[in-house]
Amino acid sequence: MKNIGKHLGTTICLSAVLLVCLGLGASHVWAEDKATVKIGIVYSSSGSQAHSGLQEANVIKMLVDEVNAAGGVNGHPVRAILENDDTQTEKSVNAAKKLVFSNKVHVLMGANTSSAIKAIQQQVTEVQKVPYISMVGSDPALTKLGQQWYFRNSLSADYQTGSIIDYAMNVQKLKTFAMIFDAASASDQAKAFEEGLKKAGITLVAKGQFKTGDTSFNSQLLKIKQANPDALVTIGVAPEAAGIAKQVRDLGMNARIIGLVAIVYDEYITLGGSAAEGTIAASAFRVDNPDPNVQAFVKKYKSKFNESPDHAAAQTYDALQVLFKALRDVKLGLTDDALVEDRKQIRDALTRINDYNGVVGHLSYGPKDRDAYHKTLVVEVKGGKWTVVKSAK
Amino acid sequence: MTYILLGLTIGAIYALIAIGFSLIFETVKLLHFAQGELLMLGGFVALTLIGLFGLNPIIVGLGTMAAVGFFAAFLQRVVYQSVPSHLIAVRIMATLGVAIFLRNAASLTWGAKARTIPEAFFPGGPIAVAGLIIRPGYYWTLIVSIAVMALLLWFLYRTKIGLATRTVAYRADIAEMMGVNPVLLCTLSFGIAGALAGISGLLVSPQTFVHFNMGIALNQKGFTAAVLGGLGSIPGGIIGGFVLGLIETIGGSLIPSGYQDVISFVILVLVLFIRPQGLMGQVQREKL
Repeated sequence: MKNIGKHLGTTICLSAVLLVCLGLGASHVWAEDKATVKIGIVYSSSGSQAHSGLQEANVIKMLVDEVNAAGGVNGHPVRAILENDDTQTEKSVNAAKKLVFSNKVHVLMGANTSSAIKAIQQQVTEVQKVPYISMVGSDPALTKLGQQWYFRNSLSADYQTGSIIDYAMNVQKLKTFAMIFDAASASDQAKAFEEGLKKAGITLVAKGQFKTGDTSFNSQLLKIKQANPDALVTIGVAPEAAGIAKQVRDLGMNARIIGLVAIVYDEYITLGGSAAEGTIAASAFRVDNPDPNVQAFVKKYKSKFNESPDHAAAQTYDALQVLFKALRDVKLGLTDDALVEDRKQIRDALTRINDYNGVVGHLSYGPKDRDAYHKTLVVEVKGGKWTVVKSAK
Repeated sequence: MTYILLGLTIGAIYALIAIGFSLIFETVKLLHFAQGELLMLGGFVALTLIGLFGLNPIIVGLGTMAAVGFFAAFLQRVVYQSVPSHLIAVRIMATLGVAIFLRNAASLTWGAKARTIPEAFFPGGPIAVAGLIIRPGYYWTLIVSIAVMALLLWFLYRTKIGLATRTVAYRADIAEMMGVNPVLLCTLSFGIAGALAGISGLLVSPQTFVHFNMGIALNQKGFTAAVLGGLGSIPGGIIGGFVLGLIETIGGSLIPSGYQDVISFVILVLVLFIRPQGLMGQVQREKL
């Protein structure tokens, strides 16, 4: 009996604590301003894509502060809710679900890898009908499967490969190509590149695979070395690509490294050192673009965060500006009941964005075309810096 | 030839981690799953020391070993020793907890971006062997790790403290009767294992870069090497490490490279099936 009494006491105590917690939680919800526009952002502040995720978060905070200081959008304050996904696809999906179901955001943005973006589309935004803008992601399939709610504010691999291959073959006179690609997260981009080469009449002389997080690529590279290619196409993200570049040189190979926009970050050069020199890739953004619009953005970013903005930062800047433009274009209810209608209105407003002059380039969306950019610059590492070698046609 | 050289270099790192596992397992009777995180700490400490003292390999190398060694000894004294030794599951969970703590602490302290030790850190120029250019980072990994292993073997088998350590590993109660302080020696073992992990973190960084998650994969490889060689056997750990490095590099060139990591798992399972005591391990029977 004594025991039961003891347990009863504990139970009552715990229940009381629980009730207090629930009460606090509820009052917290009540305190929230109902008439805010809520933007949910899934980003990587840790993991292999942290270098781009952190820049995205910088830009988002900067722009949201600016717009709120200027009185918000149509008089409504904007609130950005950020969730870290640790660059892990499962966590990206969980973060997106939390933002959509629990925070009831009006728009979802972000995720730092194509695989995470694809998972969020399939499991959250397309099903729940939430407008979703990503600032990176180059997998062609992201916009090819008839997605209704998704907008890509970056370059699809489809629009990168042609320009890169053209530059590699006709300017650099490279003849034989081998490829090493991240089979876990970039096999669609690899396929797009291989098809691009095929169109130019080239078959790969050797092919190897790795997965995100790998550190030793020697056995794959030794196999590729036997084929002695002029160029090695590396489809992956910056840290792994830098490791590959280093090990390629360590093995005494002279092959030119070619990559997609996913490696065009300063991190690739810092990690790769001298091995990064001569690497060819594609990008939509150039930090040295003389356009006053671009220079104003670069200066603002540099003075605030003490580093140079990369293309992910620039693409985030454009994505948010375009979103604000779309938000100004509609009359939102901003209540729980109006949520479904609000989301639909925002989606429709985004499809009407036409020829917006951003810091990356001119961007347009349509009811069918969900790729913001179609034009590519070809860049090369020269003297430890990404340098534009071919401008957009 | 190329495969063998590359296999030996990565094998040397596996061996250093495997020795740490075995040393701690023998003396403290603990599977220390935060060994890879100590290695990660070694990489970051080395980077910090390079920032403070410049590219001085001797100061940075010894400093890293000392810092991570002392930290590991501190972990043993403060965390692991406070868990009673019969709670085996709790002790293993404690090592996993320490591993998670260290990963997050490192990402908060040093940031989430991968970093690298400058190429000029390793003295000497590239040398040509059998038509292959070997960079200083690679041959110094081999030289330093073999030297460290030799030193450890000498210490364990030729000095009095080494004898005492092995006695504690054999029977702690007998060692205590002989006037040896097992608590002190367990701390020392942890210190040595930490120093080994620290130096391997420094050595491996030219190949893998330094980032807060680097310990996870290497931990698994080191553990496989330790089991392969015979958990608890120091020479076994050395052989296990080199064998695993060679099999991975050579095997990886024969099968589709996406499956390269499967090799170490398959080996782990096979060893546990066919020869659970490992290559160099001795069969231990429970005496009633």
